[in-house]
Amino acid sequence: MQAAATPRTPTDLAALEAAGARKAPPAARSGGASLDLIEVDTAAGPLPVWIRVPAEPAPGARPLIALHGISRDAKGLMGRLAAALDADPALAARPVAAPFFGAGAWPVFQRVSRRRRPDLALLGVMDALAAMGVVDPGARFDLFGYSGGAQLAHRFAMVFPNRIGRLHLGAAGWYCLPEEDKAYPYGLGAPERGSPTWPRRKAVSLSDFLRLPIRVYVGEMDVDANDPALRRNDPLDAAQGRTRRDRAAAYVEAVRRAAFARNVAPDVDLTLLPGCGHDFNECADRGGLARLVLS
Amino acid sequence: MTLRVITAADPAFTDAKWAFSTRRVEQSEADRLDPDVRAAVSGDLILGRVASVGQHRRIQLTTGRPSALYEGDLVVLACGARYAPDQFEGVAEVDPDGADMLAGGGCLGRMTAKNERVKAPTRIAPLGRILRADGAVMNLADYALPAATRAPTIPAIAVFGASMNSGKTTAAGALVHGLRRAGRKVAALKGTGTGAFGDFNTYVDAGAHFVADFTDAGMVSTYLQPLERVTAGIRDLLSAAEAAGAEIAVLEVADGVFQKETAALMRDGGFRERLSGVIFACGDPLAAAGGVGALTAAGLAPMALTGIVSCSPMSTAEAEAATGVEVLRKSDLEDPAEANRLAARVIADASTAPYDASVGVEAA
Repeated sequence: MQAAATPRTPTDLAALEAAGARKAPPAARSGGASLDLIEVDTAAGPLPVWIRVPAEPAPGARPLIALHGISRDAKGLMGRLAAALDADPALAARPVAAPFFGAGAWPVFQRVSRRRRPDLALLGVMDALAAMGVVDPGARFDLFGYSGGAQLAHRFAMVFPNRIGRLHLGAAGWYCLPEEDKAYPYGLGAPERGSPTWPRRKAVSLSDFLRLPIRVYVGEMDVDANDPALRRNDPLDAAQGRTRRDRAAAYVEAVRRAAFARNVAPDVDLTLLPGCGHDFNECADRGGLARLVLS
Repeated sequence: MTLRVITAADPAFTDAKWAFSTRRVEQSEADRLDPDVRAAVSGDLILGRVASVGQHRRIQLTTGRPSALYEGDLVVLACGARYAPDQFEGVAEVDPDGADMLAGGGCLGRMTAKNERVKAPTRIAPLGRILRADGAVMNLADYALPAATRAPTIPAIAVFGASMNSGKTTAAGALVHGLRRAGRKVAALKGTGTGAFGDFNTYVDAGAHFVADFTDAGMVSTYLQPLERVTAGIRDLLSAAEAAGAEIAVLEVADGVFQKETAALMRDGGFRERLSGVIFACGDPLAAAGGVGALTAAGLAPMALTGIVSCSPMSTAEAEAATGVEVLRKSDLEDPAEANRLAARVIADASTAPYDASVGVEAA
């Protein structure tokens, strides 16, 4: 891991560069893997990405992209995942990438439908890893997101299910339910205002999305309905619940219902992380979240 | 018959400018000439000398670049017909007293009609049909892709247009690019037309994983070819794309939907069965209405409109109101999210059902 501390929020690329981010090859090693911070040129602009490449990837192991939440601690996220990989040789060695959506360039990164397109950024990361020879071109990725990252992860997977192997969603604040009777952005129905472009893009691939293995995680104690970072409104509360724990359960049920309605066998489950609140580090350390994602 | 003996090492062959339409030909097999060019049939390779430079001031080479033409240049073209309302109509006949260069990609024939806005064709003095050592006339068909041994199942989105220059190739290229960015393995195919590198290069530049046209199926031009040969060629292209690992194909169909052969293709049940989706490129709302009507009557209702009509928000609104079909701009087709939406509408059902315009149709 780099000796220089990576600034936490608010951060931007300039600050990262000041902290030592660069495009050069390996800055550090993690176990038997190289660990580096690179900048990927994407259609949505340059994007810093932590990447960890094992010396010998396990055959058939899919690469993993991990998405931070509003704390924007991509480095910390990578650190927990790397530590889990280092600690347990039973976990398949695979490339891991953790993009950093800085607050300056990405005030909102959780939704694909915004003017700045995080979906294009993620596609760029995938292409960059293929160009580097880290993964095969067109490879499917496992995608993990925590909190705001989980919001982006499931929305990306709805638009591009063909790029996803397994989807891991950790404690999203709210979801785009796979239900067409709920107005977008809370479901795939016509929006009350704005263009129907994005719900259409998600709805058409819904069957493919519902076939994905989807693993949902939330802290057992992630039940604070008054968290100022938690979006609340009557329709959302009514459809998904008032807390992240409730909403995770509601999402899993919605996925199952939608899958059955389309004659798709659902492969979705919910894991409550014992003793954990809304804190990724806690979920990783106490709840075993990193290991669950990497298993 | 007296044959002019020209060996493979003869400068006439090695110094000649071989046209793009001959790109699959093994040039080293050229052995000698048969001066009886009247016997030429479509696809036969003709060695000729530029007599006068007219409309086509350049020839498209096998390497994919244009080469300026000069009087006296030796060129190798394929005998063929052409239908291009913006340029020439011509038939696959080679007159020993002089023939017409109907297309820069290497189509030689006899002009029968010309758009008044173009110059007279570049004239070629034919020296002979090119023979192999065994005496057979070299023909593009000899170097075509293998014939498909079974019906291809790769989903194909066809791009039709109102006419030449309605935006078909631009749309096809944009969609190819969007699909590639979405992570799809995409083939770009030109099913009909006259051999040229413009469209071919557009597909390559767009990032298609596999690119081929009717020349790869053994034809310099599909004009006046029997329908069965054209449809067999398309089947061979789709099969080759599938064998190359493509998971979806974008298939451009030349000319407008009212052009005789395009219309015949639209009515062919076997061809329709191979399509999973249709996009129609046109220049204005009226063309949109006409094209949607013609395609729908043929059982090929388009899932989207595009082309020059999409450049204007006002024209777009009129076209959508008149047809009920959404209009997609070039930037929409290039957007991987939008391209993936179109792919998702066709990929899931392509292996199980023939073209069905209602598949994946979303309520407005």
